[in-house]
Amino acid sequence: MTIAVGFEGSANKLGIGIVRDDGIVLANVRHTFVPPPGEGFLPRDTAKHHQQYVLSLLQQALTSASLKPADIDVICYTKGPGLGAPLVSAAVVARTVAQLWDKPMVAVNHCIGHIEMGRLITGAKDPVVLYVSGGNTQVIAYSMNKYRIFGETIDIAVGNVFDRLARVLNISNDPSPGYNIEQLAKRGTTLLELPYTVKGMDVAFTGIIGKLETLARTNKYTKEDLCFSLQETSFAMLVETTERAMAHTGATEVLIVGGVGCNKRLQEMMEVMVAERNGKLYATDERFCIDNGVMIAWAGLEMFRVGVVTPLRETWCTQRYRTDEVDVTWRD
Amino acid sequence: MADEFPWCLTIDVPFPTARLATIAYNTLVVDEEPKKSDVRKTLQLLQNDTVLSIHFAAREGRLLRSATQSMMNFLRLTIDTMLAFPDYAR
Ligand SMILES: Nc1ncnc2c1ncn2[C@@H]1O[C@H](COP(=O)(O)OP(=O)(O)OP(=O)(O)O)[C@@H](O)[C@H]1O
Ligand SMILES: [Mg+2]
Repeated sequence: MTIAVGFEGSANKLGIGIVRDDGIVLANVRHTFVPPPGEGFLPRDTAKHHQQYVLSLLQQALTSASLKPADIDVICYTKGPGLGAPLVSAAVVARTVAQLWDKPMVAVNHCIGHIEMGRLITGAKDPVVLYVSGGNTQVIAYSMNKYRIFGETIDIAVGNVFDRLARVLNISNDPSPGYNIEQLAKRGTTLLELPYTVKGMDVAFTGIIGKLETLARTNKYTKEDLCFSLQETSFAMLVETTERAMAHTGATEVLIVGGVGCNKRLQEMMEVMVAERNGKLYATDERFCIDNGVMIAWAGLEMFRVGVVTPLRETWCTQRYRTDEVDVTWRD
Repeated sequence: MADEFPWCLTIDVPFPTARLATIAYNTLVVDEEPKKSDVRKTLQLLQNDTVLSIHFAAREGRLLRSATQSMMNFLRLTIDTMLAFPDYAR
């Protein structure tokens, strides 16, 4: 039985997960850096947060899994993409324990972590993947040992629009700006017109945030309606491009991953489209959607099983690291 | 020609054993400064591998300060990790 630990700290969430090679999750602990309303998370403060909590989180993970370091077989960490200093903060601890405990390491692409975690938890076999988070918006399909990007945002990520709207409207960042926008949107009644930008397989969101900022400044519209309109418009764009990828690849499954993926309204809108095509939708809740350590542990474990090991000297981090750069040698 | 990296600092950190000093070295040597960076960083092990010596040279004082500060944070983190697992840090 192989057991992997995963360290994730590429953004404001710090997560440590432990998973077994039969897919059983033994520990999934997380601590989030929550900036005050109106503010985003800066790299320096986020790194400080991670450094402050990483060791107690590691102890917590081992305790909740009832494991000793000797029971661990491989140490996985997020190589990127993400913020430099926060990434390195998690990697420094991963490198140190790998040497103390004398274990091999595996460097994991964060986006691949989201995808593999989603497949594990939902059981989706070969889905079109919609990966939506604060830093990424991609429509992905697997083919010939790569997760190929069919479409993506040509400017900012959809979650970034949620986070920026929350700042403009002074909405709390606890537990996340997107969660609070979802709650407000439930009470929205009027759909305000926002720029709907789909270009082939790609989407763009700067038009939406620009318009929302203008509308917010007039003080004529309720927070509820602004949040509601953001969701309806941006999610319709995402459903349209996902549908196009399904048509293109002939896939019948859709898997939504990334923090925005826990949004129930997005899942509901996607479900309507997928049902019309006689397909099946797979999604997870915040434990696995939002950045976590298990996703890194599981993707790393899949890599480790086919022989991937990252030499200590090469366990660096990189802020840019595209999903399609990774050779997916663990899938047929 | 004048020295382009006049702002220098060397930090020598003694460890109780060569093994722990080597672990710290291996952990911290991985993150290199970018090639065209305005800060140069060199790590080495001294005194039978029991002292980790970190040398910085920077074009400007403020760059030296921020590079040193971030290194001290990571140095502290690797040492705290050793302290958190005393059974493995002998
Ligand atoms: N219920 C929700 N509805 C909409 N957006 C949400 C919801 N919950 C969280 N989010 C958004 O998800 C994003 C966070 O996603 P996630 O934790 O996957 O990673 P990330 O930090 O954005 O990293 P990356 O882009 O590298 O995957 C934030 O933009 C947050 O506002
Ligand atoms: Mg993420």
